[in-house]
Amino acid sequence: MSDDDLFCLTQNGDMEAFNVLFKRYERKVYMYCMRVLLDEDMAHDAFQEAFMRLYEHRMSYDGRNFMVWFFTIVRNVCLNLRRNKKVTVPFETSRANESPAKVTDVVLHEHIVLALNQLPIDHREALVLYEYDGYSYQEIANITGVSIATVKIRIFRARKLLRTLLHPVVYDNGV
Amino acid sequence: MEFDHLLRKYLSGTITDGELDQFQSLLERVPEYMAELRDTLELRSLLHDDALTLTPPADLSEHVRIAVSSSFAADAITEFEEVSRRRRAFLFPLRITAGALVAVCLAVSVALTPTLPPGTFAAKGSQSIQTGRMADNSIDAPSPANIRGNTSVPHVRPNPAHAPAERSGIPVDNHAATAQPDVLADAGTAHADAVSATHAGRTEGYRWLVDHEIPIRVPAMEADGHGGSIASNDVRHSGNPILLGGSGSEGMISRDPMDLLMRTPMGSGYNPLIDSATQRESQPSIQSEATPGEAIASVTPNDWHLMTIGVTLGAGSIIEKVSPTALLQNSYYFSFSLSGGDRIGVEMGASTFERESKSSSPFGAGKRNSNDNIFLASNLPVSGGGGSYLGLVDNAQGSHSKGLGKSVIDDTPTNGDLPTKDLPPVPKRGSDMKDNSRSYAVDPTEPSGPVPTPAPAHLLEQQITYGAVFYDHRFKLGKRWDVCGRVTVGAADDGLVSSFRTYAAYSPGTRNISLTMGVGSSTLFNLSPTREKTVSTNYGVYYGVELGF
Repeated sequence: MSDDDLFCLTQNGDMEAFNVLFKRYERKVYMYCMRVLLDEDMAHDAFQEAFMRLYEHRMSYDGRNFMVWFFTIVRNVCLNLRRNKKVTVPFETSRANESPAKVTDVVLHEHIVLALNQLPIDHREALVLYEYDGYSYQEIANITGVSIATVKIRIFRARKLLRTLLHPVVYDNGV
Repeated sequence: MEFDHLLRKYLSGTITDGELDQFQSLLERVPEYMAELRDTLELRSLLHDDALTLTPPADLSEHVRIAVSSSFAADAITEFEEVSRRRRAFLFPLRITAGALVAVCLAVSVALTPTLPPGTFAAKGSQSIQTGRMADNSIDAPSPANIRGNTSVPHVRPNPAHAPAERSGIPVDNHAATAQPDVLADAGTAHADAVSATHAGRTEGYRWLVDHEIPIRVPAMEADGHGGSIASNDVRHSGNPILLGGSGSEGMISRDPMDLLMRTPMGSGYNPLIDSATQRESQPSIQSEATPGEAIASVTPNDWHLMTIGVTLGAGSIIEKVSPTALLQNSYYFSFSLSGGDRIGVEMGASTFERESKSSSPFGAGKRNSNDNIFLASNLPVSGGGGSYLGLVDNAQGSHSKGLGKSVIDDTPTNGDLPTKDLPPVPKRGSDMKDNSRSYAVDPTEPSGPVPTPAPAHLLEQQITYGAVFYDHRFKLGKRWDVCGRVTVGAADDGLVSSFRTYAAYSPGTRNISLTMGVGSSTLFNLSPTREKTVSTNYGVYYGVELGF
């Protein structure tokens, strides 16, 4: 059953349909929030807020393309949170503060977070949607409201920059 | 730029064979391209590993899920109540209209009651005459015309005993009256006058006793005008009442043949069954004299009851393409006779119709427990006089039988009950997902492959209570059998309802009780905006009992 059908059932009070829908989207939303906001607390707030907005804005759903509609909500929630609490973590500073043990344990993921933080928000957003959530260029274009060509360029540039940022870390750790 | 384009297509899995050959040649010719491809794949592998670590905490996930789902559930209940409220509000004018129709129907019935079948009251006397039972105080003295044998005899004014005989201008023979004190004591002065006139041979003396307004059927009688013995040829008896005259010493009007026999002097040879004129045996009752048509006509206006109450039970089916559905219908009605076999009345009851729902119930297409059904049943609007939902419903899903419930909600297998092997795979997200290096994109927490298949659009049947007015016409087939047709129009919970029914009524012993059996069909025109199907029809066989007053 499609997401659209499930959400229609959910609107009629079908909790089983909502549970299925929640299972499909909770991880995608969580990954998006975590990797776009790059802050765990904010990501948790955004995660909760996004699903509550799903309920609050249920009447604005036109019955088509639930994914795009819902991720537009998620995106707006994240952007609002990010705007209200701007978080920037300098890459070099964060690297300097890391303990050797931590670098050893979760070095790659921390470096990824820090590298993502260096990307422009629109590039990071496109890359996360593409690489983490697995959406197509067209779907990302629909969510972000830009053209497919722009999405392709953003992803390409984000990937290139990320490669540049992570290259020394990756090879230093023997990845 | 060509390499970037080919790399993008390669990573997204949309590269063609020709492009793949071109891409491979580029990689072989330019080592930087190969390094870039390697870095890109490594980056994606890193992101893949990173993505696997990103799982929402269980407590956060559960908290959010419960909070949002409870909001949806509460909202659905509220919305359902709102829909019900809107529906009730929408149908309110219809119910008011139906109530007004009922009120008008009752008012018209009451207004027409005094004008009910002409001769209704006279008919009582007529019927009594036929059965030989007459009111004691009524004087059924035959008029001269009656005495001459006319079958249509003016009705006698009830007990005009004290009316002066002189008002008709006919002299009264007081002598005769005094000569018969028992008669005077019995029937009063008027009797005495009549008898006196008989004795005096003045048949005109009966005229003043006769009320010419209402004709009734009274047996004919002829007298010779001399007041002689009834056993003689002077009196030709052809039925009751009998003008009984003694041999000059007594004379009275008897209404009972047995009384006549008792009063007839022994040995006179009088046989009330023998027509003295023709010397042939005659029938004491006029019924035997009437033709069959006249016999029916004679009872037609009198056998329609002024008021009737009845109850019917129906069993049949709902006209539905998917599958036949059992139907039980009950109705109660109350009617007034207009004239002859015409009746109007009000009817209330409950009937089953089919409706189609766009989606699941507000309580979910999935798992529903008994509490859900109870809640839903208790929240269904109930109107009309029937009230008792005799529901015995089954549907295409063939999954339930709710019996005597207010509503029937299907119990579609729950999502949790569905076997996973029968479930369809997860829908593909897009062509871009054919990614050579992104097999990790599949969400490990998603249902792996099988996704519960919700039930299709449900077919629900619902009991509809209704109130209606009807017009009913009866055709009499005989003393005990009637054939009836009824057209009903009214309002129900979900719109307008109309029905047609034809049935036979049989009165086993007394005409006050009739057993009915017939066939009929009802149609519901759904006007509720929450329903998809606009017309639903059922049909069935109906059995019932009527009580007439």
